Amino acid sequence: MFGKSKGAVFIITLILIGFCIYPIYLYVNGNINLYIHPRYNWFSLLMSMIGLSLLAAGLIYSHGRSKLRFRYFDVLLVVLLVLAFVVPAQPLSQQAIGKKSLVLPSYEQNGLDGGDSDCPEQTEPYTIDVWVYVLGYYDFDCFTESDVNIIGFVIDSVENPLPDNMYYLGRTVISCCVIDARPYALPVLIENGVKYDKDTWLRVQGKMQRKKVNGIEQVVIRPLSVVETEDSSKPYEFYKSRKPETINGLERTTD
Amino acid sequence: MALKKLVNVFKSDFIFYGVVLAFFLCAFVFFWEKRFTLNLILLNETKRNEIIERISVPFGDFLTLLLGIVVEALPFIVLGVAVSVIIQRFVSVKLMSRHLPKNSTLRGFVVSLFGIFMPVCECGNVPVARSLVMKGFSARESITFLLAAPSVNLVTIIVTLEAFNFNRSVAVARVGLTLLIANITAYVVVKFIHSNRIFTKDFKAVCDTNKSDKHDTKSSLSLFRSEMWLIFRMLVIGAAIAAASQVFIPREIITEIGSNLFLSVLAMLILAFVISICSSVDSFFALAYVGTFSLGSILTFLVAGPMVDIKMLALMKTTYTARVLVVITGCVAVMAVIAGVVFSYVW
Repeated sequence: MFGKSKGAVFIITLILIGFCIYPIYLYVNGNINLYIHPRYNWFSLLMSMIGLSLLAAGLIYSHGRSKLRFRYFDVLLVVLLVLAFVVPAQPLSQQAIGKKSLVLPSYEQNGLDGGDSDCPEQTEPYTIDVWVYVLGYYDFDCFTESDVNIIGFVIDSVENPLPDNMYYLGRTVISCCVIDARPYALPVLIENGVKYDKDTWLRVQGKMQRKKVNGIEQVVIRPLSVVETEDSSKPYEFYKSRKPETINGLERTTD
Repeated sequence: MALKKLVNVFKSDFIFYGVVLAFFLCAFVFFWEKRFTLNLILLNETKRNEIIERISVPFGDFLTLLLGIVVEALPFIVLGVAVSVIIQRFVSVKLMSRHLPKNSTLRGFVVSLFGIFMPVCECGNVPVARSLVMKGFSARESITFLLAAPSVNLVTIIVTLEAFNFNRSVAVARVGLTLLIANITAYVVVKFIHSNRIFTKDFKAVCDTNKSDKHDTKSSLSLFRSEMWLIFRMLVIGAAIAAASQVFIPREIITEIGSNLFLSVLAMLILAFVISICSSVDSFFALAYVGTFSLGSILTFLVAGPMVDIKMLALMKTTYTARVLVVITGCVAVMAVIAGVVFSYVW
């Protein structure tokens, strides 16, 4: 297209600079965590700035004839760059999340059944943190009859179908970037025969119970109150890889 | 004859990329001006909304996933390219060679351990492997480094130990198998592929130019830009394929076969190939499959993923010929599956 020319080098450098600016733009607009886990924020910003500086320096000091070629295919990179800045950043749709395998906290997976007596002390109803964060680090029996106050969306699973008296409440969790987003889910018992449509956001208050579901011991929620709610303002939860020192120190907001 | 003519037409840059570009532009217009565009075609509002939903939602997901991979991988690529430029400018091959074993197998093994000091994911290691070749390291050494580095670096080891704290031998097996497979694969490549057919013509030209270039600041900045461009455009291709496969291939096809021991190993291998997740965090991803899949199949995922996922193959295409990529993929897949089946019985 531009072949090997100064023009090609100039355009290529501008495209790369554009992509280095993009993470900074996302961060400034508060949207970077729609794409990556917060633990990468600073690394991403730092390396973007380094890349930006080196490319800009190259543009100023080393803008000579180069072997770089700008081919027709590369127009797609320009299109992608324009789309990145023009189309508002958005989370994955529930349609996409629904296609993925559910992560279910089962006693078999927990591996701590009956072994760890070091249970956290509960002072308030557990929120989403217990579900995606703490549940994997303590004996599940620690949570039996604990109060919960959780927001999530109704999700179904072909791989792990539930009996008629239960439905899954799910939240999307990211461990690295949006490509590995997965739905974490807990079975909720249906009280009074009220069923909810798929993708409906609900606030469920109730108690956790140990129950056999499809022959596997699982943590389930026995609801005392279920209210339909708006979409959560936080589309993702983020996986935390360290055992918390104390649950009381965790975020205990109503999500 | 007619088919051959058609293939030739599509081989032409202009038409092929023009068609692809037109598709993207149409999708863009459709996405943004969907009501306007569809009003011209359809009058039934219910049907219109249904079609809008069917097209715009997957396209939005595709764009989100594609940009997610780009944003996640970009800092690692900047770091990897910067390290490769530093190697070009400051590292003396003569000095390194003096401390490396003379025996080629031992030497390859030692080079495969270089990755311990490179705390970046697979994307960042491609430019480093290229710079090793430019500095005079052999094809075999560059391949052992490239395949081993993502899994033997300290960050990956610590994260794997942490994720599988209920069975630490997973981390040990991951590192051991990665080193073994990387070294055997590199040996197979140089044994069965002629040395002239290992690297791409473009990369050979870069190596020749690099030998004659002065290594001053200006040329280093120029090298940084060239390497960034080469790696970045391949990252976008790989990311686009990975994103498209997540949006358009039903996950059930892969996970439904998890109950069978051999098939579950194959399923995790395919998942590793498609998902293209960074090696430093793939342990947490794999953790979600404990219970559904055997530990052996999860080991296959952890070992094969950083070596031959879609994104990585696209990046490797900047340096190695298609023949080499086929051999590498075949060797890694076969050995990772065997290891997965064996470990499924052991654990």
